Amino acid sequence: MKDTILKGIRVVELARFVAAPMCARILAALGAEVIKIETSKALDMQRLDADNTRDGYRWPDSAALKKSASLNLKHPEAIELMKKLLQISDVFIENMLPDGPSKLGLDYAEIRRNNPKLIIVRMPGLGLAGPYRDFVAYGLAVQALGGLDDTTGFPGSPIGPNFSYPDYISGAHAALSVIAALDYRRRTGRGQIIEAPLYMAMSSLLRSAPLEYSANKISVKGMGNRDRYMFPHNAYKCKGEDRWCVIAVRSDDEWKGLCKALGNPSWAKKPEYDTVLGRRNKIDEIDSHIQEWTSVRTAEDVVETLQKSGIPSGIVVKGSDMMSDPHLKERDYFKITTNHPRYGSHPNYSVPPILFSETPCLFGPAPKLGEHNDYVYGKLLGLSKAEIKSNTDAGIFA
Amino acid sequence: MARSRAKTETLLGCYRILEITDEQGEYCGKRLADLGADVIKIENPQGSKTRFKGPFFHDQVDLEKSLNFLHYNTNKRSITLNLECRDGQELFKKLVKRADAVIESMPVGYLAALGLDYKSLSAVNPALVMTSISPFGQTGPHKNWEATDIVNMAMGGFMQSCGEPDGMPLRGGCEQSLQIGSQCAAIGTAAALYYKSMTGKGQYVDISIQECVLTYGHEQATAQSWAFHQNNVVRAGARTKWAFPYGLFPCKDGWAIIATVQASEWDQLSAWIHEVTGNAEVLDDVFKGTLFDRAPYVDILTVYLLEFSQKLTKDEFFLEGQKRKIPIMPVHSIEEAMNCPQLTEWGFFKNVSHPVVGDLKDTGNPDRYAEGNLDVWKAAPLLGQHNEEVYCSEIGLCKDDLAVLRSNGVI
Repeated sequence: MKDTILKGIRVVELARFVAAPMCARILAALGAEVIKIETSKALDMQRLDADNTRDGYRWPDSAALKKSASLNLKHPEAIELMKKLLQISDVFIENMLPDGPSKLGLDYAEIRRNNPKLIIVRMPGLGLAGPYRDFVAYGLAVQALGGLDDTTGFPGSPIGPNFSYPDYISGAHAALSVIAALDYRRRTGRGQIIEAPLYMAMSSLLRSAPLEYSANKISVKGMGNRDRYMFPHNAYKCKGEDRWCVIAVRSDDEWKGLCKALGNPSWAKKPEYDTVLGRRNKIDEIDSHIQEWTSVRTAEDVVETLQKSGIPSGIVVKGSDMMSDPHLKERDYFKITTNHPRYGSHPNYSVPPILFSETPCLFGPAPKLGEHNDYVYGKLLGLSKAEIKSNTDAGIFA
Repeated sequence: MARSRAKTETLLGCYRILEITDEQGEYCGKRLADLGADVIKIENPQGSKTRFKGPFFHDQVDLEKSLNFLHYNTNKRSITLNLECRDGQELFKKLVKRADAVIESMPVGYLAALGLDYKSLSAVNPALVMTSISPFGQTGPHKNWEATDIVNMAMGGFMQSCGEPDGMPLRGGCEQSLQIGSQCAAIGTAAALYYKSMTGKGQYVDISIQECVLTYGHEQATAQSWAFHQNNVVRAGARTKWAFPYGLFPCKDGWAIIATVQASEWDQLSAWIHEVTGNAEVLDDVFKGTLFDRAPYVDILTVYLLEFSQKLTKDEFFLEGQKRKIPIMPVHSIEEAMNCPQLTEWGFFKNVSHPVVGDLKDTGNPDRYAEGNLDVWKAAPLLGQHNEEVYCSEIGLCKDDLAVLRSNGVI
């Protein structure tokens, strides 16, 4: 078996929802031992199926390779065990509100004194400081607050991705933070505290829009699928129900290539279309001509034809396209979970989608709640079988 | 190879990284540079093509005034080098010898044709980490397909679920695919560098932007939904049908988003709706519970919500809602986002001082470290600004060599 990058690094995750578990999920794929502390009293929604019952098929995307220890932190004994676990760990990831840890009885100054090499990652929604620090924040809402929704969709009708997009960004940013802090620790011997809020993660992915506002006082807005610099550039309807393709033309040469691929139709022979400014002026007319051509062809046909001519184009893919895509198959993108209690064998996404030549990312099963209690409390923390049983009976391991 | 340029240790300050990238890979270099790595941007002598991409400072089209370039290249150094000639290739190999990593986003096969692929470069520096970023990755039948952001967003499954049910699929704002591809590349590069420092072994890292978009959108369970139920995810619009209330609602002066998840959040919200509109039906027990429990009643609840939301401004909705512990947020324009007191007081923005465009406010690091932060935040470099520093002080050419190379179009 090949080596892994984070072999020997122990990560403790005390978090629900998406962002912080995503950070830990990435570290697990890189070989870290991730212990997820969870309780049936407030289950991670990522465990749940679409019908809101347990053990959904998305769970491995969030928790593959993790170890699960059940612990109800409402008990003082549980907090003591948590502190002991943090003494023998390298990284601690949580997504509580700013005052959450102290309310629980986790004093970070004390925890760091007992383990100065520990890297603590705090992932509050909107930050530990500032006027909105205690606000409730979920990914879907943060993409609106962060400016993504207003730059998506058509003018006057903002819209965002229909999932918690900022959580994924935030989890990935935080994974980079952990690796950077581990590298810093390698050189200095020092652990530290990192603050990685969801809001800042989203707000950092607006490319030049913030600078354009500070320099030119322009507030970029959504413009559908049009682009400011490429003409034509849009999504076009294809043959079949809800089938679409996208086409982007980056230069006059690509425009000529597009016309040729379309069979040099007579509508395209207007000299004004040969220049980008000419095309920009007549973009509605050009788009409707292109759609006439795409709408009688399958998306597959359109894209095969245009890619052969080197024109940037793609299918608006659905699940059915993904599962039969020979390209993704050859790259082994979907990982197969076997033995899922409800679904048996099923596909999972590559998390993270990074192909290392020497240290491939790991994939494995996701844990049942408390599946690793004996390992965590017995082997790591030295509790006897009788102590584990009495803690379980007392509802501490629950 | 590892050296300490900065007086104080920064997070990634021990690494030197060479970057041969366009808009697909620049953000990878930026993330690493913003964490302290010495990222040297290798530009062709006419300037990297991203210097020609808009928008521009005061709409002045100038190599040093692309706001796109200024954003994506903070804290980097710039040297010019023509990789398509023999002298350029030899010089590049000298640089590689003294570097820890190379990140590149050239068309698949381009560097191999110049004899500068991972195989050739690792012969020069066996511990080298090399990361390639491309739309579809380095292998597979689509590896040479052409793509831009919208193609990545379409082929990555993002667009299928973004948009109104009866409208076209939509690309997200601000070229997300180019940033998340680079974000994964930054994780891969930093992790491989850590491994190299621990073991002395380099490696090659292959990033497909399509795969990054797929992974970031996995919450939609698009693949599984098809695998189990032969169902394809469809566009649900600004408000979802599967949970309630979850989505955008119009206010007096714009839009706000409500994402109630917990049962207690609905209890608060329904009480507030009742207060404002006098509608007592909204308090019915049948609507209580989690967002899934309310899904069967989406249509009637939407009517109640719309009546309510249009009575308030988006800020009233936001601030009063948050006081009541309901996750409501306004849809911020870029202008509002740039003036948001939370971002300002948290210290998110950086003032970047650039010799040509002057002082501008931009977004900074998304995360803050107790130790190891960069103490000086540098603006994007001028074209070839560090030629002398790198070629003379660091790899030992003399100034006359530079003049010869310059005259021959090498640098």
